[in-house]
Amino acid sequence: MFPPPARFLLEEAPLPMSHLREPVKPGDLRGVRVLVVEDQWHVANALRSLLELEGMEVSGPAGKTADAHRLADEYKPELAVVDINLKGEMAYSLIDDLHDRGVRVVVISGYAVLPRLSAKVAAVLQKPFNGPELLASLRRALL
Amino acid sequence: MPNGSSILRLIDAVLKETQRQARGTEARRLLQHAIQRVAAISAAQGLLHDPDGVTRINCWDLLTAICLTVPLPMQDRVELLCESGAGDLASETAMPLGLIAKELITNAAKHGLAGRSKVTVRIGMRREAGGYVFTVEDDGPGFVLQPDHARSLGLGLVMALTRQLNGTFEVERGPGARCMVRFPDPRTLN
Repeated sequence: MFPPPARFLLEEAPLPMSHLREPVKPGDLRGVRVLVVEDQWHVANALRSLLELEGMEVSGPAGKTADAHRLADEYKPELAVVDINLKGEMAYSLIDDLHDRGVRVVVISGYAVLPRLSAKVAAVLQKPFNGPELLASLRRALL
Repeated sequence: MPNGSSILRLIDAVLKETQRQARGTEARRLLQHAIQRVAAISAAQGLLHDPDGVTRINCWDLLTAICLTVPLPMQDRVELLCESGAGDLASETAMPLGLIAKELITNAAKHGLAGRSKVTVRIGMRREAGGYVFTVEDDGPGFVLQPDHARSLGLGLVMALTRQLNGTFEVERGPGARCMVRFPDPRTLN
């Protein structure tokens, strides 16, 4: 077994994580509009490939909150996958805004995130995560 | 000067033409394996070459990118779990490590099943003194690393890429197989 990850915590108290191992129905994300907000090109590209393969309509990736706001205005996403730390710019206000627009947000982060977000996000996935975990979180967010 | 992508396309074309002309099932099969490996390298280059010129990549970002894109044989029977400690890698280590990961994960999924209905493959990265250790383990029957493995296309590629990282490759046989690639952080080499 691996030792527990030694991570710099922004906040000690963890958010409730999504139930990652539940079986999920295939195909129900097809045609769903999703916004990807991720500053790391490697991850952003992988996210976009995975979600497009699932038949989703992907906007982004946006690497800055200003771009994410613009894309949200333009494409009216139903879901958003948001990295909380965008090269040092924290995405809390973006998440507030997406929540207020009715967009269901799945936060992805290598760090623990502020508990105050728990009411405004559908799920939090801690990096590294895999494709089935992300897709399951998105499907649950739509329910 | 041709770039990496155009060289790979050229190699792909040469291999396909050679395969077309090859006589014998075994020769064609080996060439088909080589063509698939070149395709994997092309995919990894596309995935892991950062056009923004970022020089460091976070360990958990790299593992997330790998986990989201690795092609798994019989994926409904494979559970892929990822764990990573904190740390950042030089971007020049990302591509060889991505290719190593794809080979080892595919290998673990394929051989770890070994007639069973399900296999769990666990990948991880952690820091150790002067460098990192990348691990791929499965709960299958396991295997012992033999000198012959260096000639196999998959593990031979893993060993070659590990040398490129100035690292070492080991396999432990326990309840399953545990493959470990240890490599130094280039910042500590000088």
